Amino acid sequence: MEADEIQEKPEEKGSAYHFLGSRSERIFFVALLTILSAAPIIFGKGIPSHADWHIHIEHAYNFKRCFWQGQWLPRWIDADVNGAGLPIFNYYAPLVYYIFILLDLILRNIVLAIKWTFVIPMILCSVFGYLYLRRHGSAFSTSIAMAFVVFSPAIHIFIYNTNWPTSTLAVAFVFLTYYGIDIFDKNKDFDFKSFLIISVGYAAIALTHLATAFVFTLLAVPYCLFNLYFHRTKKFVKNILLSFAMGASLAGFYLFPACLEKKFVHTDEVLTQGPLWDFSKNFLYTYLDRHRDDGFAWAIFDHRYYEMSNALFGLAVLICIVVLSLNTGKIKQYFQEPFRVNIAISMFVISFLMMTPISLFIWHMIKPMQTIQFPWRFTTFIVPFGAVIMVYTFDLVGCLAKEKINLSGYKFIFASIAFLFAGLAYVDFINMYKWRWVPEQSLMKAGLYVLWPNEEYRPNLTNNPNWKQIDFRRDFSPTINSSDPSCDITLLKWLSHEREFQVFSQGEHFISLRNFYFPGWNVYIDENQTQVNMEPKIGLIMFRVPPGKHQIKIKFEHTPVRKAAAYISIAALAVYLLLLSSFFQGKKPPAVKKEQEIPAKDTSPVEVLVP
Amino acid sequence: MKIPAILSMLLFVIPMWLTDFTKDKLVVFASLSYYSCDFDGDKLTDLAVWDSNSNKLYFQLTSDRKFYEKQFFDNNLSYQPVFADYDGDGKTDFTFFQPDSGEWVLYLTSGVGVPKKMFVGSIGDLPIPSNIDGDKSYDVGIWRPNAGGWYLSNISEAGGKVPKIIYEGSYQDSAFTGDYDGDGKSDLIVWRPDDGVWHIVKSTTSFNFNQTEHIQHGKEWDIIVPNDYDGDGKCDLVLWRKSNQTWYFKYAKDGSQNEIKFGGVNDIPASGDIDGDGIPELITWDPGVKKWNVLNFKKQELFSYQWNVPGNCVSAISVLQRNE
Repeated sequence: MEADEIQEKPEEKGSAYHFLGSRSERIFFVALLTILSAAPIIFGKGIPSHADWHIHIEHAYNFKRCFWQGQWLPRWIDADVNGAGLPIFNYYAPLVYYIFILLDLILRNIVLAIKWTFVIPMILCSVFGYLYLRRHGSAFSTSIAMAFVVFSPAIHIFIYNTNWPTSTLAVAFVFLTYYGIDIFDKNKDFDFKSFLIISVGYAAIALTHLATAFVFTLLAVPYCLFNLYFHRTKKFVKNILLSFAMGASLAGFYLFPACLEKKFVHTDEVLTQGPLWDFSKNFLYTYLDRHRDDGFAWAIFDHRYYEMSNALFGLAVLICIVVLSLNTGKIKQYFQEPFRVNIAISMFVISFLMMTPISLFIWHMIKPMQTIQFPWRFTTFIVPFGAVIMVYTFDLVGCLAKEKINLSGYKFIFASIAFLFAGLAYVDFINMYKWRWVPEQSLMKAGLYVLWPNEEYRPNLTNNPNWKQIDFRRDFSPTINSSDPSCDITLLKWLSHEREFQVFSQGEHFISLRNFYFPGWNVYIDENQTQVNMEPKIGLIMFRVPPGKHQIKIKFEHTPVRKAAAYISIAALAVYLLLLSSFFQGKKPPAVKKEQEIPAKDTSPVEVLVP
Repeated sequence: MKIPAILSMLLFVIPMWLTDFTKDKLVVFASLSYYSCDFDGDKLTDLAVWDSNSNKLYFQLTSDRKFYEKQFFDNNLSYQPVFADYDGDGKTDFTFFQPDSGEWVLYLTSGVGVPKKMFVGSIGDLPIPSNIDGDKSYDVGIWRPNAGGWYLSNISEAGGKVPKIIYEGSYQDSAFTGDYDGDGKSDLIVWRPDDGVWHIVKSTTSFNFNQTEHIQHGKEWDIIVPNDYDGDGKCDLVLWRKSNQTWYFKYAKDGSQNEIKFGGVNDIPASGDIDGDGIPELITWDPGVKKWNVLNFKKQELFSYQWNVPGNCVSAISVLQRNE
């Protein structure tokens, strides 16, 4: 391949049409891709049924129900485990569920709200993905790379197979946060723009998907170290650390209790010990879990499609890496910050290897990583780094083409990439219709009636080693039970987080509730807090009531950790809004200076090709 | 910047104070009129509507043609009517289920005015009266969708009532009890909207799941309105299709089918014997205009009754499985 050969033909000049040459055309192109990708969900009936779709729908419905009952963050879902309740959202990230509430409020249709809860993250991925990629390359290359982003396994397969768009929404915020890091300007005393974007992006990742936030934080270490190559200043380190601290504080009302109160539930035990959750059998490109009994991944993804989708995307990136590797000299010539190419390739390789058995020793070394369940969570990070490699490659080839270098060999490579894209879209299409789609009424009834008994969020306060053996679905014990059969119980209030009733009994008696005891539940008899005697085997709330008529109130309240976390978040939000406001006020340019504006610094190639 | 911020805040905050915005739209899955709604015991159906916001029942007795408005419960909890004759005196008892706590409150007509309270079931369970022992009265019972489990009462060998648990159905089903085989005992029936199949576990087979009868009839979003429409003592499999306002009958005696177009697109279907001929009439309640429509399909007569009741009342004949 004679990449350096200069062609003799004179350059054509004029106003000839160029594909994706105008901004409106590019917007239309990316929007069209997104619509094509989301169309089956928007226009089809229901959603594809797969693995634990009904759990997510039930959680969404009950999150909404508990929210409107007055739990602003519905940490306690009373309906789960058939009324025994679970502190799911003390641990599970809530942002997607808030989006669902908002959509349900606007659309007034639970099925439509569920569908658009899937579509909104896809749209955000397109928007933030474009923003991030555009920072690194020309508009044309970014638009073309977006085709791969929209149909990438981390977005398309996640949406159509995991049946709840937490991972996909997290991808969108990963794009945003990387964008915030990459726009850092070391010439400013404090880069507010970068700070504000990183903070909100990081907070949003944590509020969307805790596992992704965890992996993002791990990968942020090498990524920021690489970035020190450009910004060898304390300002950069300070900016990054403060941004992450602000992001964590913004999400603190959820994030801190989720981390600090994990000891009260069976999460670690369930996620790392159960044979179905054996992370070592869920690597990408392994044949270990071909049999459904070998690993849980079979139920999340059909590996034929997931692996093929990952392989096609990875192959396209690999071709681009080969092109870049063969032209290191040209990269230095054309790119303002050629080291960014090295960063992208390094981060892509790290993410990729973390999904292969090569990284097994890391998974064993860093034990907390096992709680993220699946190595394929790194697919999320394959997308931004893979796509930016494509952008660099397209721009490089564009520059070479502008130099009239013979590109016949590269044309073959680009034809291969186009073919791979066609294959990717085809695999995605086949994958969508591989599964039976859930009829709309079943979708609605899953929300109402499934009441899933997530074992990983079951309180572990009883220390009963046989805690899993009780099947609450087959347990028809009453919601309230008194040791005195003649006790009269009159309900006054019954909400997910607060119950109130009157009791009358001739003698002292014990009342037990079909409600797990979990830190935060307090019992008041005639307005006086009383001691909760947890039922020793199952861990239900039980307490002693003196003879006579009494008013009982049982409330789910904040623990000191939750209260402190909430105050931190409120303070962080106030500071963030103040900084945001001052940033926008300071940004307004005087009208007379408008024509003298200096274009924003662009780290894309020196000679950006816009056909 | 300020205006979008204020508008965004309003978007979130205003609906908080409007209860209707936070509730789901009314979607009816099953209208179980089969357990009769005869409060005065004259063998004629008494029309009734229930306001779940105020826990008020509005009804008209056929014996004196008078309208009644009766307030139940002075708390803020929402109850659902589960009307049936639970004491065997021939009169329907005012009975209610509190869906979040599983509390049943029975105002038995044979009682002394003090309601009987019990906790059977919990959140997510559906209250369904049943009579699997074939005595004169219905018993409280629930169907648990996520377990497909029926929690019922049966007569023990000693003569008392004992709980009986039978497993049948899936979470997406519409479930009810009805005497499909005509032996005087309730059979356990679920209708699955995914494929429109009725699954009937019969009392004559001692509720043997392996001898379940499967009958395809209906499609997704149909509302089941089972009742004995031909007076042969067997519960017929009937549904109402909202999209074309048509009733689809499948008779238990011979499996024959029939269709009748009746009702409005926003109506809630029901059935009940209004004229005392032993054959239930087709009834719909239009919650928008607060009007009853009654079709006597034997005599081809149509009646309408306008009621002056609050706007959010739904028909109370006698169990309505719905999401709201």
